Amino acid sequence: MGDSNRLTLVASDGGKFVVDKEVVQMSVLLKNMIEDLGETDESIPIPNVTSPVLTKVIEFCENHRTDAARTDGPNVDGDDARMRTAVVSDWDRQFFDVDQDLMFEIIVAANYLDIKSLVDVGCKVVADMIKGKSPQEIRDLFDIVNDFSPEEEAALRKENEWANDR
Amino acid sequence: MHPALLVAEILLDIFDWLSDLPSSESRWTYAQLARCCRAWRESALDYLWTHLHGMDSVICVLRSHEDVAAGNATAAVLQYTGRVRSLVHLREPTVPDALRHCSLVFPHLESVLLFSQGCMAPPALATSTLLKHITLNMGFPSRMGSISDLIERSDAAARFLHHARAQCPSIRSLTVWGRISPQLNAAIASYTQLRTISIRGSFFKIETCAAIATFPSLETLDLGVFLREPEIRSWQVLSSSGTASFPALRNRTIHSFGPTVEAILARIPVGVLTKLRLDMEGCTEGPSYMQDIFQLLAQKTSESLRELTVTDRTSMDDLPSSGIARWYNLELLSPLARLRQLRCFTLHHPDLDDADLKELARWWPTLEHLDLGTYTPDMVMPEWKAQFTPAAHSIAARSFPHLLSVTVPVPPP
Repeated sequence: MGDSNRLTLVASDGGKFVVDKEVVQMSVLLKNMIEDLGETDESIPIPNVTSPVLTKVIEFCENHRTDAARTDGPNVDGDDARMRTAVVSDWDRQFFDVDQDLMFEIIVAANYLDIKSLVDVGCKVVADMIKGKSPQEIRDLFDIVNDFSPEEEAALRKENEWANDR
Repeated sequence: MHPALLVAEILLDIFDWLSDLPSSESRWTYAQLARCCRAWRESALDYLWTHLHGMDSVICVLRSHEDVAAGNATAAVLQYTGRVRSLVHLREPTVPDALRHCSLVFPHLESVLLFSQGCMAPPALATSTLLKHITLNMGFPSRMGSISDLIERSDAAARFLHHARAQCPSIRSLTVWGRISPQLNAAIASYTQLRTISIRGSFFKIETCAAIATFPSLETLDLGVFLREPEIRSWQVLSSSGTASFPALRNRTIHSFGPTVEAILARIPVGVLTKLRLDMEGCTEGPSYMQDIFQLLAQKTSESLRELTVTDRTSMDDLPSSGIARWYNLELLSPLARLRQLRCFTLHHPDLDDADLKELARWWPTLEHLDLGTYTPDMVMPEWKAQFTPAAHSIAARSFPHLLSVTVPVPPP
Protein backbone atom coordinates (compact mmCIF):
# COMPACT_ATOMS: atom_id res chain seq x y z
CA MET A 1 0.00 0.00 0.00
CA GLY A 2 1.51 3.37 -1.00
CA ASP A 3 1.40 6.75 0.73
CA SER A 4 -2.28 7.72 0.72
CA ASN A 5 -1.38 11.42 0.61
CA ARG A 6 0.50 11.11 -2.67
CA LEU A 7 -0.34 9.82 -6.10
CA THR A 8 1.34 9.25 -9.44
CA LEU A 9 0.60 11.22 -12.61
CA VAL A 10 1.70 9.81 -15.94
CA ALA A 11 2.45 12.27 -18.75
CA SER A 12 1.65 11.56 -22.43
CA ASP A 13 5.28 10.47 -23.06
CA GLY A 14 5.24 8.02 -20.11
CA GLY A 15 7.04 10.26 -17.59
CA LYS A 16 5.89 9.54 -14.02
CA PHE A 17 5.46 12.16 -11.31
CA VAL A 18 4.69 11.39 -7.66
CA VAL A 19 2.86 14.35 -6.24
CA ASP A 20 1.05 15.35 -3.01
CA LYS A 21 -2.71 15.03 -3.36
CA GLU A 22 -3.10 18.54 -1.94
CA VAL A 23 -1.04 19.87 -4.84
CA VAL A 24 -2.84 17.79 -7.48
CA GLN A 25 -6.20 19.01 -6.20
CA MET A 26 -5.53 22.51 -7.51
CA SER A 27 -6.68 20.92 -10.77
CA VAL A 28 -10.48 20.72 -10.73
CA LEU A 29 -10.31 17.90 -13.31
CA LEU A 30 -7.96 15.79 -11.14
CA LYS A 31 -9.77 16.67 -7.91
CA ASN A 32 -13.03 15.31 -9.35
CA MET A 33 -11.21 12.26 -10.68
CA ILE A 34 -9.68 11.51 -7.26
CA GLU A 35 -13.07 11.86 -5.59
CA ASP A 36 -14.59 9.46 -8.11
CA LEU A 37 -11.78 6.91 -7.72
CA GLY A 38 -11.66 7.02 -3.91
CA GLU A 39 -8.61 5.45 -2.19
CA THR A 40 -6.49 3.88 -4.93
CA ASP A 41 -2.88 3.13 -5.76
CA GLU A 42 -3.49 3.45 -9.48
CA SER A 43 -1.61 6.17 -11.33
CA ILE A 44 -3.54 8.79 -13.25
CA PRO A 45 -2.72 9.25 -16.94
CA ILE A 46 -2.59 12.81 -18.30
CA PRO A 47 -2.74 12.01 -22.00
CA ASN A 48 -2.62 15.57 -23.36
CA VAL A 49 0.37 16.84 -21.40
CA THR A 50 4.03 16.07 -22.02
CA SER A 51 6.63 15.60 -19.25
CA PRO A 52 8.31 19.03 -19.65
CA VAL A 53 4.94 20.77 -19.48
CA LEU A 54 3.71 18.63 -16.57
CA THR A 55 6.93 19.40 -14.71
CA LYS A 56 6.18 23.11 -14.98
CA VAL A 57 2.50 22.68 -14.05
CA ILE A 58 3.47 20.74 -10.90
CA GLU A 59 6.09 23.36 -10.06
CA PHE A 60 3.41 26.07 -10.22
CA CYS A 61 0.92 24.09 -8.12
CA GLU A 62 3.52 23.31 -5.46
CA ASN A 63 4.42 26.98 -5.23
CA HIS A 64 0.78 28.08 -5.00
CA ARG A 65 -0.59 25.22 -2.87
CA THR A 66 -1.58 27.54 0.00
CA ASP A 67 -3.19 30.25 -2.15
CA ALA A 68 -6.73 28.93 -1.75
CA ALA A 69 -6.59 29.40 2.03
CA ARG A 70 -5.10 32.89 1.64
CA THR A 71 -7.86 34.10 -0.69
CA ASP A 72 -10.76 33.30 1.67
CA GLY A 73 -12.51 36.64 1.99
CA PRO A 74 -15.06 38.01 4.40
CA ASN A 75 -17.92 37.01 2.13
CA VAL A 76 -20.42 34.71 3.73
CA ASP A 77 -22.57 34.51 0.62
CA GLY A 78 -20.17 32.14 -1.06
CA ASP A 79 -19.71 34.44 -4.03
CA ASP A 80 -16.97 33.74 -6.55
CA ALA A 81 -13.79 34.51 -4.63
CA ARG A 82 -11.54 34.43 -7.68
CA MET A 83 -8.64 36.75 -7.08
CA ARG A 84 -7.63 38.91 -10.03
CA THR A 85 -4.51 40.65 -8.91
CA ALA A 86 -3.47 43.46 -11.21
CA VAL A 87 0.22 42.60 -11.04
CA VAL A 88 1.90 39.29 -11.87
CA SER A 89 4.23 38.37 -8.98
CA ASP A 90 7.97 38.15 -9.56
CA TRP A 91 7.84 34.38 -9.02
CA ASP A 92 5.06 33.95 -11.60
CA ARG A 93 6.82 36.18 -14.12
CA GLN A 94 10.00 34.19 -13.64
CA PHE A 95 7.99 30.98 -13.99
CA PHE A 96 6.74 32.08 -17.41
CA ASP A 97 10.18 33.26 -18.54
CA VAL A 98 10.35 30.37 -21.01
CA ASP A 99 10.17 30.09 -24.77
CA GLN A 100 6.83 31.05 -26.30
CA ASP A 101 5.87 27.50 -27.31
CA LEU A 102 6.33 26.19 -23.77
CA MET A 103 4.45 29.19 -22.36
CA PHE A 104 1.42 28.44 -24.53
CA GLU A 105 1.68 24.67 -23.84
CA ILE A 106 1.53 25.40 -20.10
CA ILE A 107 -1.57 27.57 -20.61
CA VAL A 108 -3.25 24.88 -22.74
CA ALA A 109 -2.41 22.20 -20.13
CA ALA A 110 -3.73 24.40 -17.32
CA ASN A 111 -6.90 24.95 -19.28
CA TYR A 112 -7.31 21.20 -19.85
CA LEU A 113 -6.56 20.36 -16.19
CA ASP A 114 -8.81 23.21 -15.09
CA ILE A 115 -6.26 25.06 -12.94
CA LYS A 116 -7.83 28.48 -13.04
CA SER A 117 -5.04 30.34 -11.26
CA LEU A 118 -2.43 29.07 -13.71
CA VAL A 119 -4.60 29.90 -16.73
CA ASP A 120 -5.13 33.37 -15.31
CA VAL A 121 -1.46 34.07 -14.68
CA GLY A 122 -0.50 32.75 -18.12
CA CYS A 123 -3.15 34.79 -19.88
CA LYS A 124 -2.16 37.87 -17.89
CA VAL A 125 1.45 37.43 -19.02
CA VAL A 126 0.27 37.20 -22.64
CA ALA A 127 -1.99 40.24 -22.16
CA ASP A 128 0.98 42.20 -20.81
CA MET A 129 2.95 41.26 -23.95
CA ILE A 130 0.14 42.67 -26.13
CA LYS A 131 -0.24 46.05 -24.40
CA GLY A 132 0.75 49.09 -26.42
CA LYS A 133 1.45 47.18 -29.63
CA SER A 134 0.08 47.85 -33.12
CA PRO A 135 -1.59 45.06 -35.13
CA GLN A 136 1.63 44.42 -37.07
CA GLU A 137 3.73 44.29 -33.89
CA ILE A 138 1.28 41.78 -32.36
CA ARG A 139 1.36 39.68 -35.52
CA ASP A 140 5.16 39.69 -35.49
CA LEU A 141 5.23 38.77 -31.81
CA PHE A 142 2.95 35.74 -32.14
CA ASP A 143 3.66 34.79 -35.76
CA ILE A 144 0.12 35.60 -36.88
CA VAL A 145 -0.71 35.72 -40.60
CA ASN A 146 -2.60 38.83 -41.68
CA ASP A 147 -5.57 37.33 -43.52
CA PHE A 148 -7.37 40.66 -44.08
CA SER A 149 -7.34 42.35 -47.43
CA PRO A 150 -5.97 45.92 -47.27
CA GLU A 151 -9.52 47.21 -47.90
CA GLU A 152 -10.96 45.16 -45.05
CA GLU A 153 -8.33 46.32 -42.61
CA ALA A 154 -8.79 49.94 -43.69
CA ALA A 155 -12.57 49.67 -43.19
CA LEU A 156 -12.10 48.19 -39.72
CA ARG A 157 -9.70 50.98 -38.83
CA LYS A 158 -12.03 53.68 -40.09
CA GLU A 159 -15.17 52.29 -38.43
CA ASN A 160 -13.39 52.06 -35.09
CA GLU A 161 -11.44 55.29 -35.32
CA TRP A 162 -13.33 56.57 -32.26
CA ALA A 163 -11.33 54.14 -30.16
CA ASN A 164 -8.01 55.70 -31.15
CA ASP A 165 -7.96 58.48 -28.53
CA ARG A 166 -5.58 57.29 -25.81
CA MET B 1 0.38 31.26 -34.50
CA HIS B 2 0.29 28.86 -31.57
CA PRO B 3 -3.04 26.93 -31.45
CA ALA B 4 -3.55 28.18 -27.87
CA LEU B 5 -4.41 31.56 -29.39
CA LEU B 6 -7.34 29.97 -31.20
CA VAL B 7 -8.86 28.33 -28.10
CA ALA B 8 -11.86 30.50 -27.28
CA GLU B 9 -11.57 30.18 -23.47
CA ILE B 10 -7.89 31.16 -23.51
CA LEU B 11 -8.32 33.97 -26.01
CA LEU B 12 -11.20 35.46 -24.01
CA ASP B 13 -9.17 35.21 -20.79
CA ILE B 14 -6.31 37.11 -22.44
CA PHE B 15 -8.70 39.74 -23.80
CA ASP B 16 -10.42 39.95 -20.43
CA TRP B 17 -7.20 40.99 -18.71
CA LEU B 18 -6.91 43.88 -21.13
CA SER B 19 -10.19 45.29 -19.82
CA ASP B 20 -8.30 46.14 -16.61
CA LEU B 21 -6.40 48.87 -18.46
CA PRO B 22 -7.61 52.49 -18.23
CA SER B 23 -10.68 52.66 -20.45
CA SER B 24 -9.15 54.68 -23.32
CA GLU B 25 -6.10 52.39 -23.38
CA SER B 26 -8.33 49.33 -23.26
CA ARG B 27 -10.45 50.56 -26.19
CA TRP B 28 -7.35 51.32 -28.25
CA THR B 29 -5.92 47.86 -27.55
CA TYR B 30 -9.12 46.05 -28.59
CA ALA B 31 -9.22 48.10 -31.78
CA GLN B 32 -5.64 46.91 -32.57
CA LEU B 33 -6.51 43.28 -31.76
CA ALA B 34 -9.55 43.38 -34.04
CA ARG B 35 -7.23 44.20 -36.96
CA CYS B 36 -4.68 41.43 -36.28
CA CYS B 37 -6.50 38.55 -37.98
CA ARG B 38 -9.97 37.27 -38.78
CA ALA B 39 -9.89 34.74 -35.94
CA TRP B 40 -9.59 37.53 -33.36
CA ARG B 41 -11.80 40.15 -35.00
CA GLU B 42 -15.20 39.19 -33.59
CA SER B 43 -14.06 38.65 -30.00
CA ALA B 44 -12.02 41.87 -29.98
CA LEU B 45 -14.92 43.87 -31.41
CA ASP B 46 -17.25 42.34 -28.79
CA TYR B 47 -14.94 43.65 -26.06
CA LEU B 48 -14.51 47.00 -27.78
CA TRP B 49 -18.23 47.62 -28.15
CA THR B 50 -19.64 45.93 -25.06
CA HIS B 51 -19.59 49.14 -22.95
CA LEU B 52 -20.34 52.41 -24.73
CA HIS B 53 -20.40 56.02 -23.62
CA GLY B 54 -22.76 58.05 -25.78
CA MET B 55 -23.24 57.92 -29.52
CA ASP B 56 -19.80 59.02 -30.80
CA SER B 57 -18.86 55.50 -31.86
CA VAL B 58 -22.13 55.04 -33.76
CA ILE B 59 -21.66 58.39 -35.51
CA CYS B 60 -18.10 57.32 -36.40
CA VAL B 61 -19.33 54.16 -38.14
CA LEU B 62 -21.99 56.13 -40.00
CA ARG B 63 -19.40 58.69 -41.17
CA SER B 64 -17.14 55.94 -42.43
CA HIS B 65 -20.03 54.82 -44.67
CA GLU B 66 -21.06 58.25 -45.95
CA ASP B 67 -20.31 57.27 -49.54
CA VAL B 68 -22.44 54.10 -49.55
CA ALA B 69 -26.18 53.57 -49.75
CA ALA B 70 -28.09 54.42 -46.57
CA GLY B 71 -29.25 50.83 -46.11
CA ASN B 72 -25.67 49.56 -46.15
CA ALA B 73 -24.60 52.16 -43.59
CA THR B 74 -27.46 51.16 -41.32
CA ALA B 75 -26.55 47.48 -41.62
CA ALA B 76 -22.92 48.28 -40.80
CA VAL B 77 -23.94 50.22 -37.70
CA LEU B 78 -26.28 47.50 -36.48
CA GLN B 79 -23.47 44.94 -36.77
CA TYR B 80 -21.67 46.94 -34.12
CA THR B 81 -24.55 48.12 -31.93
CA GLY B 82 -25.71 44.51 -31.56
CA ARG B 83 -22.58 43.95 -29.45
CA VAL B 84 -23.40 46.65 -26.91
CA ARG B 85 -24.39 45.31 -23.47
CA SER B 86 -24.13 48.44 -21.36
CA LEU B 87 -24.54 52.06 -22.31
CA VAL B 88 -24.09 55.44 -20.65
CA HIS B 89 -25.74 58.62 -21.91
CA LEU B 90 -24.35 61.77 -20.29
CA ARG B 91 -25.88 64.11 -22.87
CA GLU B 92 -29.24 64.09 -24.60
CA PRO B 93 -28.64 61.87 -27.63
CA THR B 94 -30.48 62.20 -30.89
CA VAL B 95 -31.32 59.34 -33.22
CA PRO B 96 -29.20 59.61 -36.42
CA ASP B 97 -31.25 59.81 -39.64
CA ALA B 98 -29.94 56.46 -40.86
CA LEU B 99 -31.39 54.79 -37.75
CA ARG B 100 -34.75 56.55 -37.56
CA HIS B 101 -36.64 53.45 -38.67
CA CYS B 102 -34.96 51.27 -35.99
CA SER B 103 -37.15 50.75 -32.96
CA LEU B 104 -34.14 49.40 -31.02
CA VAL B 105 -30.65 50.55 -31.95
CA PHE B 106 -28.99 48.42 -29.23
CA PRO B 107 -30.99 45.17 -29.35
CA HIS B 108 -28.86 43.31 -26.78
CA LEU B 109 -28.56 46.11 -24.25
CA GLU B 110 -28.65 44.78 -20.68
CA SER B 111 -27.74 47.84 -18.63
CA VAL B 112 -28.25 51.55 -19.19
CA LEU B 113 -27.17 54.59 -17.19
CA LEU B 114 -28.87 57.89 -17.99
CA PHE B 115 -27.05 60.77 -16.31
CA SER B 116 -28.04 64.42 -16.22
CA GLN B 117 -29.19 65.44 -19.73
CA GLY B 118 -28.87 61.78 -20.70
CA CYS B 119 -32.18 61.24 -18.90
CA MET B 120 -33.79 62.75 -22.00
CA ALA B 121 -32.59 59.83 -24.16
CA PRO B 122 -35.19 58.53 -26.59
CA PRO B 123 -36.22 54.93 -25.79
CA ALA B 124 -34.82 53.67 -29.13
CA LEU B 125 -31.32 54.56 -27.90
CA ALA B 126 -31.63 53.21 -24.36
CA THR B 127 -33.84 50.14 -24.25
CA SER B 128 -33.93 46.55 -25.48
CA THR B 129 -36.03 43.51 -24.75
CA LEU B 130 -33.04 42.17 -22.76
CA LEU B 131 -32.64 45.26 -20.56
CA LYS B 132 -32.16 44.22 -16.91
CA HIS B 133 -30.63 47.21 -15.09
CA ILE B 134 -31.60 50.87 -15.30
CA THR B 135 -29.73 53.65 -13.53
CA LEU B 136 -31.14 57.17 -13.57
CA ASN B 137 -29.23 60.13 -12.13
CA MET B 138 -31.07 63.40 -12.52
CA GLY B 139 -28.74 65.29 -10.19
CA PHE B 140 -29.38 67.59 -7.25
CA PRO B 141 -30.01 71.37 -7.25
CA SER B 142 -26.99 73.68 -7.58
CA ARG B 143 -24.62 70.91 -8.54
CA MET B 144 -26.21 69.85 -11.79
CA GLY B 145 -28.63 72.54 -12.82
CA SER B 146 -31.63 74.57 -11.77
CA ILE B 147 -34.64 73.00 -10.07
CA SER B 148 -36.70 73.31 -13.24
CA ASP B 149 -33.94 71.49 -15.17
CA LEU B 150 -33.96 68.72 -12.60
CA ILE B 151 -37.73 68.37 -12.67
CA GLU B 152 -37.68 68.30 -16.46
CA ARG B 153 -35.08 65.49 -16.38
CA SER B 154 -36.99 63.68 -13.69
CA ASP B 155 -40.19 63.80 -15.73
CA ALA B 156 -38.28 62.61 -18.80
CA ALA B 157 -36.89 59.73 -16.71
CA ALA B 158 -40.46 58.89 -15.67
CA ARG B 159 -41.56 58.74 -19.31
CA PHE B 160 -38.56 56.56 -20.06
CA LEU B 161 -39.47 54.20 -17.23
CA HIS B 162 -43.07 53.92 -18.42
CA HIS B 163 -41.87 53.09 -21.94
CA ALA B 164 -39.27 50.62 -20.67
CA ARG B 165 -41.80 48.84 -18.47
CA ALA B 166 -43.91 48.13 -21.53
CA GLN B 167 -41.04 47.19 -23.83
CA CYS B 168 -38.47 45.51 -21.57
CA PRO B 169 -39.86 42.46 -19.74
CA SER B 170 -36.49 41.53 -18.16
CA ILE B 171 -35.93 44.62 -15.97
CA ARG B 172 -34.96 43.46 -12.49
CA SER B 173 -32.86 46.28 -11.09
CA LEU B 174 -33.45 50.03 -10.80
CA THR B 175 -31.20 52.72 -9.35
CA VAL B 176 -32.45 56.29 -8.98
CA TRP B 177 -30.37 59.24 -7.78
CA GLY B 178 -31.34 62.88 -7.49
CA ARG B 179 -34.51 64.93 -7.55
CA ILE B 180 -37.56 62.68 -7.85
CA SER B 181 -40.57 64.42 -9.40
CA PRO B 182 -44.15 63.25 -8.69
CA GLN B 183 -44.24 61.59 -12.12
CA LEU B 184 -41.03 59.71 -11.39
CA ASN B 185 -42.35 58.66 -7.97
CA ALA B 186 -45.38 57.17 -9.70
CA ALA B 187 -43.22 55.43 -12.31
CA ILE B 188 -41.01 53.86 -9.63
CA ALA B 189 -44.07 52.65 -7.73
CA SER B 190 -45.25 50.81 -10.85
CA TYR B 191 -42.08 48.64 -11.14
CA THR B 192 -43.50 45.76 -9.15
CA GLN B 193 -41.27 43.17 -10.88
CA LEU B 194 -38.02 44.51 -9.39
CA ARG B 195 -35.62 42.34 -7.42
CA THR B 196 -33.19 45.15 -6.61
CA ILE B 197 -33.90 48.81 -6.06
CA SER B 198 -31.58 51.59 -4.96
CA ILE B 199 -32.85 55.10 -4.32
CA ARG B 200 -30.79 58.08 -3.17
CA GLY B 201 -32.95 61.06 -3.72
CA SER B 202 -34.94 64.00 -2.58
CA PHE B 203 -38.73 64.38 -2.76
CA PHE B 204 -39.18 60.63 -2.43
CA LYS B 205 -42.82 60.12 -1.50
CA ILE B 206 -44.13 57.89 1.24
CA GLU B 207 -46.65 56.44 -1.24
CA THR B 208 -43.69 55.22 -3.33
CA CYS B 209 -42.07 53.71 -0.26
CA ALA B 210 -45.32 51.94 0.64
CA ALA B 211 -45.63 50.63 -2.92
CA ILE B 212 -42.02 49.34 -2.91
CA ALA B 213 -42.73 47.53 0.35
CA THR B 214 -45.29 45.40 -1.49
CA PHE B 215 -43.06 44.38 -4.43
CA PRO B 216 -43.34 40.59 -4.21
CA SER B 217 -39.85 39.70 -5.54
CA LEU B 218 -37.77 42.51 -4.04
CA GLU B 219 -34.66 40.93 -2.52
CA THR B 220 -32.26 43.86 -2.26
CA LEU B 221 -33.15 47.37 -1.13
CA ASP B 222 -30.73 50.27 -0.85
CA LEU B 223 -32.59 53.26 0.45
CA GLY B 224 -30.96 56.65 1.08
CA VAL B 225 -34.00 58.79 1.81
CA PHE B 226 -35.30 60.86 4.70
CA LEU B 227 -38.91 60.56 5.69
CA ARG B 228 -40.52 63.11 8.01
CA GLU B 229 -42.57 62.05 11.02
CA PRO B 230 -45.97 62.91 9.40
CA GLU B 231 -44.98 60.84 6.36
CA ILE B 232 -44.00 57.90 8.53
CA ARG B 233 -47.36 58.09 10.29
CA SER B 234 -49.18 58.20 6.98
CA TRP B 235 -47.34 55.04 5.90
CA GLN B 236 -49.14 53.30 8.74
CA VAL B 237 -52.44 54.24 7.10
CA LEU B 238 -51.26 53.30 3.62
CA SER B 239 -50.10 49.84 4.70
CA SER B 240 -53.12 48.96 6.81
CA SER B 241 -54.65 46.89 4.02
CA GLY B 242 -53.01 43.75 5.38
CA THR B 243 -50.57 43.29 2.48
CA ALA B 244 -47.26 41.88 3.72
CA SER B 245 -44.34 44.35 3.57
CA PHE B 246 -41.02 43.38 1.95
CA PRO B 247 -42.01 39.68 1.71
CA ALA B 248 -38.85 38.55 -0.11
CA LEU B 249 -36.22 40.97 1.17
CA ARG B 250 -32.79 39.42 1.84
CA ASN B 251 -30.27 42.27 1.57
CA ARG B 252 -30.78 45.81 2.64
CA THR B 253 -28.81 49.00 2.88
CA ILE B 254 -30.43 51.96 4.59
CA HIS B 255 -28.79 55.37 4.61
CA SER B 256 -30.91 57.67 6.71
CA PHE B 257 -31.78 59.06 10.11
CA GLY B 258 -33.12 56.97 13.00
CA PRO B 259 -36.89 57.41 12.54
CA THR B 260 -36.78 56.42 8.87
CA VAL B 261 -34.70 53.34 9.61
CA GLU B 262 -37.02 52.37 12.44
CA ALA B 263 -40.10 52.80 10.27
CA ILE B 264 -38.67 50.57 7.56
CA LEU B 265 -37.36 47.89 9.92
CA ALA B 266 -40.72 47.77 11.69
CA ARG B 267 -42.24 46.55 8.43
CA ILE B 268 -39.90 43.76 7.46
CA PRO B 269 -41.18 40.23 8.03
CA VAL B 270 -39.64 38.04 10.73
CA GLY B 271 -36.85 35.65 9.77
CA VAL B 272 -36.15 36.77 6.18
CA LEU B 273 -33.43 39.44 6.18
CA THR B 274 -29.90 37.98 5.96
CA LYS B 275 -27.74 41.01 5.27
CA LEU B 276 -28.13 44.58 6.53
CA ARG B 277 -26.04 47.70 6.21
CA LEU B 278 -27.18 50.65 8.30
CA ASP B 279 -25.57 53.91 7.21
CA MET B 280 -26.65 56.39 9.85
CA GLU B 281 -26.42 60.16 9.41
CA GLY B 282 -24.55 62.02 12.12
CA CYS B 283 -26.32 62.72 15.41
CA THR B 284 -24.57 65.04 17.84
CA GLU B 285 -26.51 63.62 20.76
CA GLY B 286 -24.97 60.20 20.32
CA PRO B 287 -26.51 56.96 19.19
CA SER B 288 -28.94 56.28 22.07
CA TYR B 289 -31.78 56.07 19.55
CA MET B 290 -30.10 53.00 18.08
CA GLN B 291 -31.23 50.92 21.05
CA ASP B 292 -34.79 50.79 19.65
CA ILE B 293 -33.45 49.97 16.20
CA PHE B 294 -31.30 47.15 17.57
CA GLN B 295 -34.25 45.79 19.51
CA LEU B 296 -36.38 45.79 16.37
CA LEU B 297 -33.59 44.09 14.52
CA ALA B 298 -33.34 41.39 17.16
CA GLN B 299 -37.10 40.81 17.03
CA LYS B 300 -37.19 40.53 13.26
CA THR B 301 -33.95 38.84 12.33
CA SER B 302 -32.66 36.85 15.31
CA GLU B 303 -32.71 33.61 13.30
CA SER B 304 -31.82 34.98 9.86
CA LEU B 305 -29.31 37.86 9.95
CA ARG B 306 -25.79 36.79 8.96
CA GLU B 307 -24.12 40.10 8.07
CA LEU B 308 -24.56 43.39 9.90
CA THR B 309 -22.68 46.59 9.15
CA VAL B 310 -23.37 49.76 11.12
CA THR B 311 -21.79 53.00 9.93
CA ASP B 312 -22.41 56.08 12.04
CA ARG B 313 -21.37 59.32 10.39
CA THR B 314 -21.25 61.26 13.65
CA SER B 315 -17.81 62.75 14.11
CA MET B 316 -16.31 62.33 17.57
CA ASP B 317 -15.33 66.01 17.31
CA ASP B 318 -19.02 66.96 17.07
CA LEU B 319 -19.95 65.25 20.32
CA PRO B 320 -20.17 67.45 23.42
CA SER B 321 -17.22 66.94 25.78
CA SER B 322 -19.54 65.88 28.59
CA GLY B 323 -23.09 64.73 29.01
CA ILE B 324 -23.01 61.99 26.41
CA ALA B 325 -25.09 59.14 27.75
CA ARG B 326 -23.19 56.56 25.76
CA TRP B 327 -21.54 55.71 22.49
CA TYR B 328 -21.76 52.20 21.00
CA ASN B 329 -21.05 50.37 24.25
CA LEU B 330 -21.97 46.88 25.32
CA GLU B 331 -25.24 47.99 26.87
CA LEU B 332 -26.36 49.80 23.72
CA LEU B 333 -25.43 46.81 21.58
CA SER B 334 -26.97 44.27 23.96
CA PRO B 335 -30.18 43.62 21.94
CA LEU B 336 -27.92 42.26 19.18
CA ALA B 337 -27.03 39.37 21.48
CA ARG B 338 -30.07 37.62 20.03
CA LEU B 339 -28.57 37.52 16.52
CA ARG B 340 -27.36 33.97 16.98
CA GLN B 341 -26.68 33.37 13.26
CA LEU B 342 -24.42 36.39 12.79
CA ARG B 343 -21.27 35.64 10.75
CA CYS B 344 -20.01 39.17 9.96
CA PHE B 345 -20.20 42.23 12.19
CA THR B 346 -18.79 45.64 11.28
CA LEU B 347 -18.95 48.70 13.53
CA HIS B 348 -15.99 51.04 13.54
CA HIS B 349 -14.66 52.49 16.80
CA PRO B 350 -17.25 51.23 19.26
CA ASP B 351 -17.01 52.10 22.93
CA LEU B 352 -15.69 48.64 23.84
CA ASP B 353 -12.58 47.20 25.46
CA ASP B 354 -10.77 43.87 25.52
CA ALA B 355 -13.09 42.26 28.06
CA ASP B 356 -16.14 43.13 25.94
CA LEU B 357 -14.81 40.92 23.15
CA LYS B 358 -15.46 37.85 25.31
CA GLU B 359 -19.04 38.94 25.78
CA LEU B 360 -19.49 39.47 22.04
CA ALA B 361 -18.19 35.92 21.53
CA ARG B 362 -20.87 34.61 23.87
CA TRP B 363 -23.51 36.46 21.86
CA TRP B 364 -22.30 35.34 18.45
CA PRO B 365 -20.79 31.85 18.70
CA THR B 366 -20.47 31.38 14.93
CA LEU B 367 -19.00 34.78 14.06
CA GLU B 368 -16.36 34.58 11.30
CA HIS B 369 -15.50 38.20 10.57
CA LEU B 370 -15.27 40.98 13.15
CA ASP B 371 -14.37 44.48 11.97
CA LEU B 372 -14.25 47.16 14.66
CA GLY B 373 -12.12 49.55 12.60
CA THR B 374 -8.44 50.44 12.69
CA TYR B 375 -6.56 52.89 14.86
CA THR B 376 -5.85 56.24 13.21
CA PRO B 377 -3.46 58.57 15.08
CA ASP B 378 -5.18 61.74 13.85
CA MET B 379 -8.55 60.70 15.26
CA VAL B 380 -9.28 62.42 18.58
CA MET B 381 -11.01 60.02 20.95
CA PRO B 382 -12.92 61.48 23.90
CA GLU B 383 -11.59 60.58 27.31
CA TRP B 384 -14.71 58.65 28.31
CA LYS B 385 -14.39 56.22 25.41
CA ALA B 386 -13.02 52.74 26.09
CA GLN B 387 -9.86 51.64 24.26
CA PHE B 388 -8.55 48.28 23.17
CA THR B 389 -5.05 47.08 24.05
CA PRO B 390 -2.65 44.96 21.94
CA ALA B 391 -4.00 41.91 23.79
CA ALA B 392 -7.35 42.37 22.02
CA HIS B 393 -6.29 40.34 18.99
CA SER B 394 -5.34 37.26 20.97
CA ILE B 395 -8.48 37.56 23.11
CA ALA B 396 -10.59 37.69 19.95
CA ALA B 397 -8.74 34.74 18.45
CA ARG B 398 -9.31 32.65 21.58
CA SER B 399 -12.92 33.72 22.19
CA PHE B 400 -14.47 33.31 18.73
CA PRO B 401 -14.02 29.67 17.68
CA HIS B 402 -14.92 30.25 14.01
CA LEU B 403 -13.12 33.56 13.50
CA LEU B 404 -11.45 34.00 10.08
CA SER B 405 -10.65 37.71 10.24
CA VAL B 406 -10.54 40.39 12.91
CA THR B 407 -9.83 44.12 12.86
CA VAL B 408 -9.61 46.00 16.16
CA PRO B 409 -8.56 49.66 16.68
CA VAL B 410 -5.60 49.19 18.97
CA PRO B 411 -3.54 52.29 19.84
CA PRO B 412 0.22 51.68 19.85
CA PRO B 413 1.57 50.79 23.31
